[in-house]
Amino acid sequence: MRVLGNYLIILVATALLQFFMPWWTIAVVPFLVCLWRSGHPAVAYAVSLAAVSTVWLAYATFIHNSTQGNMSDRIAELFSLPSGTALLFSVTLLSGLVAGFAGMAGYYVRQLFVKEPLTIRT
Amino acid sequence: MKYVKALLSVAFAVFLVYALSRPWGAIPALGPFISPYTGFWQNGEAPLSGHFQDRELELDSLREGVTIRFDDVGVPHIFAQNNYDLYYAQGYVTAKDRLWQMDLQTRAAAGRLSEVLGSRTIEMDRRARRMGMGYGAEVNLKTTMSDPVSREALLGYTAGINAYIDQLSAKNVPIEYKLLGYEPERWTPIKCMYMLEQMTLTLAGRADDLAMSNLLKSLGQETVNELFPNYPMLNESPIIPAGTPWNFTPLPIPSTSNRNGAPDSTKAGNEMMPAIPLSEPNVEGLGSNNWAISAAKSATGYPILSNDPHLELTLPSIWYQVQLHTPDMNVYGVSLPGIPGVVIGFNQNVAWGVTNVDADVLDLYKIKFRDSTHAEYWYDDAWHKTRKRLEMIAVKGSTDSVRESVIYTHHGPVVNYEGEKGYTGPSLAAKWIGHEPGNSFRTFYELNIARNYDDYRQALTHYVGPAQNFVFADNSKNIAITVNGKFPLKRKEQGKFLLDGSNPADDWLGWIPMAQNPTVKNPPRGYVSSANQSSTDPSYPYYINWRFAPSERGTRINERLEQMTQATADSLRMLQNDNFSVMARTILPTLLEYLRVAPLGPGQKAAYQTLADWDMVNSAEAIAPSIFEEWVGALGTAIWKDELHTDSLAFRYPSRDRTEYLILKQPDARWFDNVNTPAKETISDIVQQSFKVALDTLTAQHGPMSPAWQWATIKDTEIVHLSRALKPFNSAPIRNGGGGSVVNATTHHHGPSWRMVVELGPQPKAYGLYPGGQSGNPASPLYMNMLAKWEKGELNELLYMKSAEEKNDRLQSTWTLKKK
Repeated sequence: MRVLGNYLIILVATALLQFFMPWWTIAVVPFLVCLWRSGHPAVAYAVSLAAVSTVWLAYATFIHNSTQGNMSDRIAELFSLPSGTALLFSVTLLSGLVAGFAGMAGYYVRQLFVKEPLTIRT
Repeated sequence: MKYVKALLSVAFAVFLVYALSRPWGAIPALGPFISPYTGFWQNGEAPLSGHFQDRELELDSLREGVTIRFDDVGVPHIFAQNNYDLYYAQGYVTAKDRLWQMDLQTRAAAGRLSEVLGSRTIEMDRRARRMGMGYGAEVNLKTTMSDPVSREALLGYTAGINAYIDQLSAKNVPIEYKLLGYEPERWTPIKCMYMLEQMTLTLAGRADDLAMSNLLKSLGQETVNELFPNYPMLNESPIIPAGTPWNFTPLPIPSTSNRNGAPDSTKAGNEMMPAIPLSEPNVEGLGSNNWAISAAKSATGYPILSNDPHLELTLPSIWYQVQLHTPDMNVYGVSLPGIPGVVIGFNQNVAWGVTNVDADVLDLYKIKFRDSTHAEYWYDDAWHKTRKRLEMIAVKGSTDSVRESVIYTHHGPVVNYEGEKGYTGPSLAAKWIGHEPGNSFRTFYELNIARNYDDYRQALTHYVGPAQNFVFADNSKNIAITVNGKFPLKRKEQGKFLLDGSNPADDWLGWIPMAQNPTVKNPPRGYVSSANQSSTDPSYPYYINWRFAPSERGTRINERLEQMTQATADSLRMLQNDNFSVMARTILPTLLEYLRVAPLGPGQKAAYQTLADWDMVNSAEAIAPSIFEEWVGALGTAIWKDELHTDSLAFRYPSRDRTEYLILKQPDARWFDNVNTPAKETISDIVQQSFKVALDTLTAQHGPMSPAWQWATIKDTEIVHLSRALKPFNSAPIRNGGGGSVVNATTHHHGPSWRMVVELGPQPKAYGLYPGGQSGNPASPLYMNMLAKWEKGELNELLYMKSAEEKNDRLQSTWTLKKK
């Protein structure tokens, strides 16, 4: 449940905050969420990546389609990519990597504050 | 261990964000650039079906309301109650469509490119500073702002641009800002002046004085007179028809300089680092055509006027169409983004257009400084103080500005210094029309509201430069053309060579009175025209220049207009697209005669036959023009290079007219011999050799003769984005006919930047378009929507509205601007 919760929190928060905040919101939000609650570094990474990628992919796809790629196709050419669609996925991947590493950093910083789980000695 | 992990993971995440937040070389900061919230995605535009939307805007400092109606090609039709609001709205919509273009062009003029582009443009900026662009803009601003009408226009226009800039958020700035990584800055009235300076530099900023002085020194006076005559020897069809009487008493002009205008023994140097393009050959295709036919020649019973200014073809287009309406004005035409008003256009009663006058309004004076501080210079047998203007060129990515102390003499700024790195000539000061205070805006404003011929003549009196041939037609069935600008009063040939900056007799002697500028009204031949050729025949009592654009375009236009009867707008449109080569008609038969008797290989024979069968029309699919143009170029080189070319000194070749004269009338001239070979070549040898060279060049680049040699392919016209670097923003290759010497003067990068035809009459009917569109956004459906028609030589009908409420199927959306 916590994994899905984190996914949704990051998704909604980054989707909304980016209308007012700079692009690096996609790093700050996963970091904070994973700092607050996360159980495993790989999961923190994956959830952050997935949530932010979803946001960027959805918004960029919406613009790409509604403008018939009339800017994205040209920028793709400028960056020597085969098409606007290729650019779309590259951009999505990049946003995911930023979020993933930020989320993972959140997990590791969290480990500085949480106590070791109790182990019973006999 | 867990501390290490935490530290490393945070460090890596921070590094990632940092790396994506800063530019790397030419790559912009990727984070904001690729974000769908702020990046390039936001510059995408809806296709045409969703493009036009009604809007209501509440804006600061408007006096009353403004209504703007947009037609189907995106042209704004602006309806205002007063001039301030009118130009405010013009500024607003021009910024909406062309903000980055305005920014870049005024930066280039002001020498401020490095501020946003970094160190690679420092030399360009230094040139602009040394040329005194800032000085020119300042003196022009002062004059313009002292006129209440002009002042109101500049202030309104400025406020409108700034109102647009102020409402921009980071995500909405034009894509070029995002790619280059800088932000729009607020507009100021002086930027309008910088735009005018930039046009003056483009059209009247070249001088071959240094080249001519070098030639004078190496060849001697007699040979220079022979090769560089002051009027074409073979063909000319001057703008003011020969025989037009000069109805004035000319001012007296001292006949010679008291110390002889010829240069002294000072070495005129090379130009590895010229401050200005001292001897760049005139670019073919950087000219224009205009003409008007009388009511007697037209089918409408009223005059018809045509204009197509040829400039470097770029995207966004150089021009911006607009209709401006107030209770006192209703004008439609093209504006230059950055300058209020309409530059070429028509209203209810008149139409006008412009072509460039090749006037000699940039002269270089040799300066003798007292010492290396450049604080004093020798003039009129005494040392005089110079003035220093410290220019700071800010450079992106560097904390230090480049300091450039520009030295001003009474002639003008010093553009080259004796002994400076990469330059071996004398110190040179530039006397240039761009430094002359004036109010050229006022000319366009008065043309915008002109009602008749007298208004037109009055409007022209305000104009300083760049000098233009102003063609005119009105509803009272007048046609006229005036070679107009502020022309220096000079001796014949004064400024053909470097001038002596210490000799008062070499100063400009005053000005040709405006009323005495060459002009003609309703000539008996029933038409007026210009194509940058000689302004007048040699009977005009003043010296304007010793060289003008070659005569072919003017000759062809005049021949066709001579024959025209019952002409319509379409007749004039077809003449704009005329591809007939007068140059081929003049020399090709003679050249082929030399070839006919020569031993030719099979490929050469085929090429010969192609030329022999050619109808002399530079059409897109023809192969002959590719061979002919390449051949003529090779022939010119073969004739002149051995005698005139030097690697280290500025030089120029004689004109095309002079070369043709040599071929046709002086076949035994010594110039045909290649002095670098022991043999003595004849014209026949040179013609045959250059033919083979031309074919070898074409074969090397395009394989043996085949459809790959089609003229459109060889000419390779393309319309490039103003950045000249962002290739995906360029047009696809253009397939049309044309050529530098034909009426349809389309070349690789130059050509008709606006084509307009106006049928005068109770209800003016006008047509026009440019090779681009209204919008400067490469993603806009209006970025190059006019290009396909332009390529085919077609025109759009221009929607000339009478009132803001008018109904027309072409009107797409309405913007209402309200006072806040």
